[in-house]
Amino acid sequence: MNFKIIKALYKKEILDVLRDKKTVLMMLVVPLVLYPLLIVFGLQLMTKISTDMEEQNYKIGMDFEEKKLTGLFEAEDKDVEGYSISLVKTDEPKDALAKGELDAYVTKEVVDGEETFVVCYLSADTNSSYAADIIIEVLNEYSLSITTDLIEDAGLDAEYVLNPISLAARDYSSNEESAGNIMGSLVPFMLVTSLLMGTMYPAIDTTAGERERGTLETVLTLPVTNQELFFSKFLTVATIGIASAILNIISMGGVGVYMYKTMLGFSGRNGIDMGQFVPGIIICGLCVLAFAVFISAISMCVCVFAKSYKEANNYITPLTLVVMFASMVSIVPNVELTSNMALVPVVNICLLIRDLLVFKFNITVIMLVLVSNIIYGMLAVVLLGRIYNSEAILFGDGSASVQIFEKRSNMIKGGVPTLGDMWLVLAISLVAMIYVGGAVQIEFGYYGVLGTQFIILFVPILYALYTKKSLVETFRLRMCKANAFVGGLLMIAGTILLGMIVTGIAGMIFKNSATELTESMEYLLGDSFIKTLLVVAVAPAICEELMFRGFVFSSLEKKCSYKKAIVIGGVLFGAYHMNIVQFFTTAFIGMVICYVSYRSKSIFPGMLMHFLNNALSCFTMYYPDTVKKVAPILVSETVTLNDMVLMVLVGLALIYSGAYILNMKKVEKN
Amino acid sequence: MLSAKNLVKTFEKNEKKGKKVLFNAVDDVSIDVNKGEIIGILGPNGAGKTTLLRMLGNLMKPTSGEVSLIEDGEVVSDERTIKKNIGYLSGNTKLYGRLSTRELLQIMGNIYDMSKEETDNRIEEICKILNLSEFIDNRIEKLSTGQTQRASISRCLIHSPEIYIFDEPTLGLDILSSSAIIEFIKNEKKKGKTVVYSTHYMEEAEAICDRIIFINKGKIICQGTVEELKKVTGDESVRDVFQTLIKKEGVDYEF
Repeated sequence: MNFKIIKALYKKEILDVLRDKKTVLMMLVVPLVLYPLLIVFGLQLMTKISTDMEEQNYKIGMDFEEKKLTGLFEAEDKDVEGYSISLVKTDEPKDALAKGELDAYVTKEVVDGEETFVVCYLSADTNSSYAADIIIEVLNEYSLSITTDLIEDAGLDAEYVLNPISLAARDYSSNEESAGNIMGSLVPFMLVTSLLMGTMYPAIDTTAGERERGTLETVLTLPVTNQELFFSKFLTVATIGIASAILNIISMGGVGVYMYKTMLGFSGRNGIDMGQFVPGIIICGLCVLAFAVFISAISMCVCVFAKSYKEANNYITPLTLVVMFASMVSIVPNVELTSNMALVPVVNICLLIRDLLVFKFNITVIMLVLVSNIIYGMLAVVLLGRIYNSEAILFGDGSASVQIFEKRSNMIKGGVPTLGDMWLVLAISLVAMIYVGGAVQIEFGYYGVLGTQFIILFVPILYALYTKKSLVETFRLRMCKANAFVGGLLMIAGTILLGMIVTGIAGMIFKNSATELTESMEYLLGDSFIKTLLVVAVAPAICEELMFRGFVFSSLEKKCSYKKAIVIGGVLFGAYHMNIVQFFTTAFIGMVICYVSYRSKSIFPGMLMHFLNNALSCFTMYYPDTVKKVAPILVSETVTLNDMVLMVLVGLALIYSGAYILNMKKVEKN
Repeated sequence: MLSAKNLVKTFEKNEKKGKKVLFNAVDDVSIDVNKGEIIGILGPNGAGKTTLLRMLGNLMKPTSGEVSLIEDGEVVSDERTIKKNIGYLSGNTKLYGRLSTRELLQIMGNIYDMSKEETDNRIEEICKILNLSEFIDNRIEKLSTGQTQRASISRCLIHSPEIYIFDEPTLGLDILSSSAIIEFIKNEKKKGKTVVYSTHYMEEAEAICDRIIFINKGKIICQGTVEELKKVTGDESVRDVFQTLIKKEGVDYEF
C-alpha cells in the first residue's frame, strides 16, 4: 500500500463526505444544536409544568362532616406555598368529579366491616391525581394526630413513642463517585449511539452512495489498488465517526455541566474534581478508538452490498437496532463486566465505561476489552478488505445470495443452501432459542429444555423445504459404510482425550466461566440419568448435527475449500455454545466431526460421535465412582505432566488411526 | 504499445429461474495497439466490449491472459505503471459531484504522483484546450451535460497519458458535443497519442479509425482497416460489413 495515495484518496473522501448535507447534519447540527436545544427546552417545559402546578387551585370534595379533618385541610391551604385548596361540601361527589367540578373527593365507606376513608379520583387526569395525593397527605396527618392523642391519653410521651430511635444517613461516596454513577448509566449508551450515527452516513455514502453516483469506476481507472481504496474509505468513515462522537460528548458534557451548575446551588454539595476522571477517560478513549474501527468497518461491510443509498439504509437499520439495544446494558443494574462479558462486542465497551466512571479498575478485564475490541476491529477491517477486493462487488450490483427473498416460483429445486442462507438460518435459530426457548423453559421446565433443542432442527428443515433444497444433500441423509463409524469412533475417543486438556487450560484462564459451566451442569443432576441423557446427548446428537454438519457445513463446503469449510464449521459450532471455556473444545470437536462428515458424506457417523462425547460427560457426572474404577484419568482433579503427554500421544494416535480407517476403505471403493 | 494476449474473462450469469451458469464475456482475445493508432471496437450489445476495455485499462483482472505495455522493447505488466499511461473514459466513470473540477484535477494529479506545481501547470493547459475556465471552480453537480463531459475528458488528460481508452464516449451526446469529442480524438492522434474506443456509430468509426475490430459473443470475428473489411464481405460501408458479419454469426442485431 502506498501511503501517499491513501492520503490523497482520504483527502478526497473527507472533502466529498463533508460536503454531503446528511453527514454534516448528523455530525454537526444534531449534537451541537439539536441536543442542547432539546435539553434546554425540556428543562423550561419542566419548570413551566411545576409552576403551573404550584399556581393550581385544587377543588377537593367531602361528603361528610368531620371538624378536625376540615381544619387540617384549611391549615394545609394556609401553610403550603404555591397551590391552594378549596374544600367543597357536596352530596353527589361522584357526579361532580365526572363533570370536573371536583378534582378529587374523600368519602367514608364500610369496607370489610371497618369504617374506611376512601379517596376517589381520576388517574387519567393529572390534576386529579395531585389532588388525591394532597388528600392522602392530609389523611395521614389526621391519622397521626389521632395516634398522638391516644398515646398522650395513655400518659406516654408521644414524641418518643412515635420515634423511639433517631435516624440519620451519611453518604461516604465522594462527589466524583456519585457523579460517575449517574454518568456511567448514560454516557456509554450516548457514546455508542452517537458513534454509530456518526459512522452510518459516511459508511453509506462512501460505499452504496458511490455506487449510486457511478464514481467508483472513475477511481478504478487511477493507479490505485483495491486495498488502498478500501483503506482510505475506511479511514474516512472512522474519522467522521470519531469526530462526531467527540462532538457529541463535548456537547452533552457542556449541557451536563450547565445542568450540574444550576442544580449545585440547591444541593449544597462541593464541586467535582474532574482530574480524578482523567485515567479512566484515557482508557475509555483507547477502547472507544478500537470500537470506532470495529463499528466503521462493520457498517461498511453491510452497506457495500447495497445498490443504492436507500437500500443501504434498509440494511443498516437492523444493525443500528442491535447495537443500540446492546448498548443499553449499562442502564441495567447488576450486569457485571465478567471476563465472559468482556468478549461481547458493544456490551463490553459500555460496561467498561460504566465501571471506569465509578473508579472500578480491573486490569485483566480492561485488557480483555481492549484486546477483544482491537481483534474485532481488525477482523472487520480484514473482512471489508476481502469484500472490496471482489470484482463482483465493485462492478456488480451487490449480491443477493439469500434465497428466501426470491420469488418461490423462481427457486431451483435441489442443491444445498447458500452462505447467505446459512447466516440467516443461524441468526434466526439463535434468536428463536433465546426468546422462544427462554419462555418455553420457564413454562415447561425439563420438557421445555428438551423442546428448545428442536428449534435448531425445525428452522433449517423448514427453510430448506421452503427454498426447495434437497434434504438428502443438505442434511447428508445418506447411509455410509461401516468403516466411517469405526473411524469416527476412534477419532472421537482421541478428540475427547485432547479436548480434556484444552478444557483444562481454558478453565484456568477463564475461571468465572468455568464455575458458571459447572453450575449449569449440576443443575441438571436433579433428574434421572435417562432423562438427562436424553437432553444432554440424544437431542443434541440429532438436532445440532443436522444443523451444523448438515445445513451449515453443506453450505460452507459448497462455497469454500473443504479445509476452510471444516475450520469455519468448527468455529461456528464452538461459538454456538456461547461459553468461552467450552469454545475451544467444542470448536475442535466440531472440526473433527466436520472432517468425518466430509469424508463419509453422511450425517450418521457424526451423530454417533456427538452422542458418545456428550453421553460420556453425562455418565461421568452421574456415576463418578464407576468411572473412577474404569478410567481414573477422566475424573482426577490434577493431572501430572507425564499423564498429559501420554494423553496427547494416545489421543493423536487414536485420531490418526481413525482417520486412516475412515479413508482406507474409501480408496478401495473408488 | 499496448498488448493484450489471450484475454479471457469468465462471469457467473443468472439464467432463467435463478440458475447460475459460467460464461466467457471475453473469450481468448489478443490485441496489439500500436503507437499513434486509433482502434475502433465494434460489436452488438453484450458482445463484451466494455469488459474487454476494462481489462485493457487494468480496471478488471482477466480470468486468464495478460495485458502489458511495451515501451522501447521493454515489457511492463505492472498494473500501476500501465494505469499511469492510460486515460480511461466511459459512461460509467462519473465525477464527484460535490467537488469542483479544479479540486478533482488536483487530487487526481496527487494520485498520479505529480508535484503540485506540475499539476497546476497541467490544469492551466487543459483549461485552455477544453475551455474549462468559466466553470472550473463550480461544483460538478451544477454543470450542464456538455460541461460535465468536458470535465470528464479533462480528468483523463491530467496525467498526459500516451494511450486513451474510451468506452462509447459519444453515447447520448448531441451533435455538437459528440463532434467535439471526435475532434479531440483526431487532435490527440496528431500528437502521436494512441486511442482505443468502442462505439455503436458505424459512420463515426469509419471516419476516424485506422483499424476496426468486430467482436461478438466475446470473440474477435474480424479485424482490419476499413478498406480491408470492405473487401472481406464486398459491402460498401462499415455498417453493411457489420450486418453481414453479424448475420453470418447467427445474431439478429437491431440498430
